[in-house]
Amino acid sequence: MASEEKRAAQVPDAAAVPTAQPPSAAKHARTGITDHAISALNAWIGDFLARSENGLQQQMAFYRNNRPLDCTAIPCDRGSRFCVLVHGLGGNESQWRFELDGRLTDYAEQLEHHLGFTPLYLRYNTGRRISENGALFARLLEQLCGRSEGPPVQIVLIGHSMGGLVIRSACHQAAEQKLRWVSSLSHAIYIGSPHLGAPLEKAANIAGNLLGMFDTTATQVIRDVLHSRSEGIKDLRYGNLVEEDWLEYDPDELLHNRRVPVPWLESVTHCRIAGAIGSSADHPVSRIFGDAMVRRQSAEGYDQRGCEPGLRPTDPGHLCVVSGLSHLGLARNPEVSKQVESWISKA
Amino acid sequence: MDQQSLERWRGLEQLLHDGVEIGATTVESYHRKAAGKPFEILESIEVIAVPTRIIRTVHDGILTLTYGSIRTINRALDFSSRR
Repeated sequence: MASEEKRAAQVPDAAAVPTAQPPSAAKHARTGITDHAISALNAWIGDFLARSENGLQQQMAFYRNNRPLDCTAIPCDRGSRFCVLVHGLGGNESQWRFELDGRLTDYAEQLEHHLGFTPLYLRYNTGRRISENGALFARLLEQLCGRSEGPPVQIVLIGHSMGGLVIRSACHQAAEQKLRWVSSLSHAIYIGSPHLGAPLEKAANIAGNLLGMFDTTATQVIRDVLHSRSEGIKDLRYGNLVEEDWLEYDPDELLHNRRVPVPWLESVTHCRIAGAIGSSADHPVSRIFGDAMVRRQSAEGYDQRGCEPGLRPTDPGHLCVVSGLSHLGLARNPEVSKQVESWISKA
Repeated sequence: MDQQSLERWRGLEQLLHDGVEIGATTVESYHRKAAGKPFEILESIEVIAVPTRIIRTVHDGILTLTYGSIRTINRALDFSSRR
């Protein structure tokens, strides 16, 4: 890949990243409105911020207390068990927080308390290409785990929405490059991830192309505003994972799925959670709208026409549909937390 | 002010400059296109074609000068803030 070196250069240098407290000692700081605004800005124009090397870009790093962690300061040895939470479009680590028994917690913290995992929270520029974020994430995990002490005993990756696609992209690229952390990865958990694409992005693509047919200033202004959404958002149209999916193609062409099949890693247990806004998974509303952002088949990773290579669709044990829950609600729900924990503890 | 906050402020400043630069260029293209349509109609009427072309040239010149000035001032401010 031609841009590999450039991408590698954009991984924050461990020495340049301010050192925060190690994860076990740190408590969550309140994420302020500035951080949320920056996350949203990254979602919309993050690709532009990256190209112009703007300081508002969310550099990919593990975060605690709203600060990036020095990767080399995180203890890692043969006994380490890491659980990494990867947020979705326009999010940050605060999206995972929910109240349980009167106090705020999240899925990784639950795994820390019950199974002894070290929680890590990834923050990244969601406006960049998923394949670029996947490459950076694969490299970051290698920085964390590829030290002389040996790889950790277990890694669990949990991704919400776009985060799940970033995990898949990272796994694929890491396997191709034979990175060491892949051998420690036991579970990849995708929560409401649009493996087959997101209808809202498809609608935006159709609207943009329709408006482009009218030769008036008003429609072209709206079209240009729609087209200005980031490459990361456009990747959600069909769930692009690798560079081949988008390189040399017009990102705004009308509904053309150019995604190449990416096999799911055989050595990893792939668990998928789909949301359903209806009162039950089979409710007509749930069937049509899924979790209101991602349809059920897309979150499951296969549809009636078949499945993607490498996925075992006959494995119902690693598939869960949670009804009465919206897309954002999937990232902070006690029921989902229990499901995640049960999958990992059974392994 | 810590390093992260400083970088964010600089980023915001850069974004404002980029926004003015790109915004001025984009609005100029919309403006030129929108104004071009009535000029094209008027230019197709033979009796007033010549004066219309003169007016259009003046109009386009003012357009270039106005938006160009905005970009120039913006670049000058950007340059001075970086020093």
